[in-house]
Amino acid sequence: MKVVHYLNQFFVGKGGEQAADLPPGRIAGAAGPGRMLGVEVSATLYCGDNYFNEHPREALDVLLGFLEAEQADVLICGPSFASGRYGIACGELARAASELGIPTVCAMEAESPGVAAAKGAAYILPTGARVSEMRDVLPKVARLAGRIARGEEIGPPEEEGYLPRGIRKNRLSEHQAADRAVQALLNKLAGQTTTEVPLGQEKVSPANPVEDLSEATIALVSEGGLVPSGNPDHLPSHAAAHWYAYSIEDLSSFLPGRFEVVHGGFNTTSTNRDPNRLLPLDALRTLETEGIVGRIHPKYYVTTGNSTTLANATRMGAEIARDLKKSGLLVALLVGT
Amino acid sequence: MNNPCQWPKFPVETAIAGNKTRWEQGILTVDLEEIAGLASSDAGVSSVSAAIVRPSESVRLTHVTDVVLPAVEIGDPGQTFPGVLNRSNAAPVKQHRFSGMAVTGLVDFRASHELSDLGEAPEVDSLLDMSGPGADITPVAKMNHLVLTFTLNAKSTLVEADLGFRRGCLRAARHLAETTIGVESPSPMASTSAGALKNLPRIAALIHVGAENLLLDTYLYGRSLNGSDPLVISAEELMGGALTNGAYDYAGLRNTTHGYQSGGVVRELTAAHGSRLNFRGVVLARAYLQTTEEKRRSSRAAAQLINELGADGVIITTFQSGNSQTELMYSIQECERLGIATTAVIAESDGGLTDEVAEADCLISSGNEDEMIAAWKPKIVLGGERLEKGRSAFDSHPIPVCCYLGAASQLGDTRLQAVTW
Repeated sequence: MKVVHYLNQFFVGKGGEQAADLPPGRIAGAAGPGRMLGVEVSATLYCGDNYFNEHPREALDVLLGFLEAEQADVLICGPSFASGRYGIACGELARAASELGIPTVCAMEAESPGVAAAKGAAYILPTGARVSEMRDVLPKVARLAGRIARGEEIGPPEEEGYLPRGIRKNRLSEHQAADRAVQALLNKLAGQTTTEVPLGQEKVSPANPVEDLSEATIALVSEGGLVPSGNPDHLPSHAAAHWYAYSIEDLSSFLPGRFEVVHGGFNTTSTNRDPNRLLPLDALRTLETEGIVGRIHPKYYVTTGNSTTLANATRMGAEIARDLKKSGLLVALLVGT
Repeated sequence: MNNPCQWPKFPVETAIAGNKTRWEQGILTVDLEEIAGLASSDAGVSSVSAAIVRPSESVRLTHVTDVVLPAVEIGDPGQTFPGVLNRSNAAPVKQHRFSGMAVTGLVDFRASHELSDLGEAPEVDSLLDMSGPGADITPVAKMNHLVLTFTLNAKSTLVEADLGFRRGCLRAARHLAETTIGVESPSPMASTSAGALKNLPRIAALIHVGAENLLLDTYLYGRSLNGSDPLVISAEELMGGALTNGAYDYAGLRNTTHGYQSGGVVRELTAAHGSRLNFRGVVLARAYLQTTEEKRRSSRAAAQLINELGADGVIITTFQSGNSQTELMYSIQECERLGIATTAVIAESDGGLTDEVAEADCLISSGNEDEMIAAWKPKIVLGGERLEKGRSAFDSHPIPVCCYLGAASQLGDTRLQAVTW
């Protein structure tokens, strides 16, 4: 079992606030509170709180490199208690580690911003605000980390004591959904409203209007499932989790036969006959020629919006927006189906 | 109130094949040759093979398309499943119904017909495992099944073939239940009457159904609901077989004919009428409508009908996921705007819901449709060995909840529930 431990500059013994700009580093074996974990720590990673929060990408690149080299079975972050910057570093490192397949155990106050930063990717044991709890918290962290590293099945949060991660798992209820629905409605009418399904939709404020389209670069973005013929990247017809960008640099319009629509949620006969009626490249090229719009982005962005979860749709939207921002884009023409 | 929960039931503890179809003291004997002949008598059907499977057997059914609860109108068996097996518009009155027994139709439409013109008919597996982890989450896996495997007539139109399949299943279900005519039920019709309704909360049900096109359709008195506006029906119409299924999309979230007959939320409301609540009636409305305007208009019309029923509260059920969640959310919003409290049964996907409104503050989970169910290897497969992605049904591999018939049904009969970890 290989355990790697992450600490900030203070707990690793490099100094207090004056060392908060310390770049990431690695120490062989345990350090600081890691010596009280009661498990063998193969390496301790550290970073100054300011450095991590001001240079998160650079810090993560280095720390993840250490983690991969270590071939860790489990990562322990903190405990960070009530510390905001340290908590965020723990949470973000945990989330990044999970993308490498490395499970993480953190410990922090339930209100810490690190909980949100982890985005459900870590087992987070709740602590109080005071560092004096360290001796009580560390054995719990070590126990859970050990079980995870050994591949043991981890039970639900109410049994294991970690904060709910937002993952929805099935179980068999004692009562049918119909029974529960009747009781829930009667309770609601009596003033006691409860729900079994938490909502989480983010509200988005619209961007400011574009002042001068003739200066703008316009990108075509769609969930309509338009792909080059043969669907080279195997974009699924429903429940897509990925998006793709395809070049339209040399095209005056989408030619039938060179593109096809793989969306599984509507009859694609008309759009396969003329894909421009799904994504109006032909009309945009005319506007571009007339100088009404500045230029058209050399690629169009596409996924399928059919039974796509809010979580995946939100992530894909953010990824596409980030990619578009690289080209200083001002306008995205979103075509829905 | 004609209470379908009080219709006489005939429990089937086990089902066996035999020379004469009959029910006797909990044992249903089925003449398989006779029933296969009955089920294949329409022009759209080439042949039917019949078999019996029982709970806990190592059997996997594939291409499971619909399930029907055996039932018969006591006063006039010819009126059973009105509008489909006859030209009747007569509402169900009183039925003999089996419990613990279902007629299950298996058919591969693609084996005989070209479906691409329809645009959508999901190429995902539709399964019923009689044991193993899939059976644990599937309510109908606890029943005995008369399994009818249909081969459709490739020379018939798809409309004829689908009608032949649907009529074949319903005819077999009626025939089984007919064996109880003249037999005294071990659970005779109860004669309880509803208590004083005056101070009880007035509750209605709103049932969303799919009616887009062939193979994605729902039938009321045998007629497609495609193009219909929201309408009021009675509990006995819903549970008595006036509403039948012809929508064969994702199995785990499909509203089967059995699901309508069993009633789900409507059954519980009927059962509680006069004691815990005053059940005001059922509104049927389509979902998966094509535009936001249509969805909003339909939701508003449904809410208005519920308001006219005098309801203080409504339980909303839906089908499938994705698109239909918008009608569900709009219906919640429109009802709440009229002062009608809402609860809805909803299935989730990995990552949550496709749509939501702030008014949806009382949702009941019917499970996460994307969760994988552990691999299991059956000894017997009925309905065709080849699965949709070319794998063998005998292969052992994890299968998502959405492939198991009715596992996450939003009509309310599942015990599956997603909880936060």
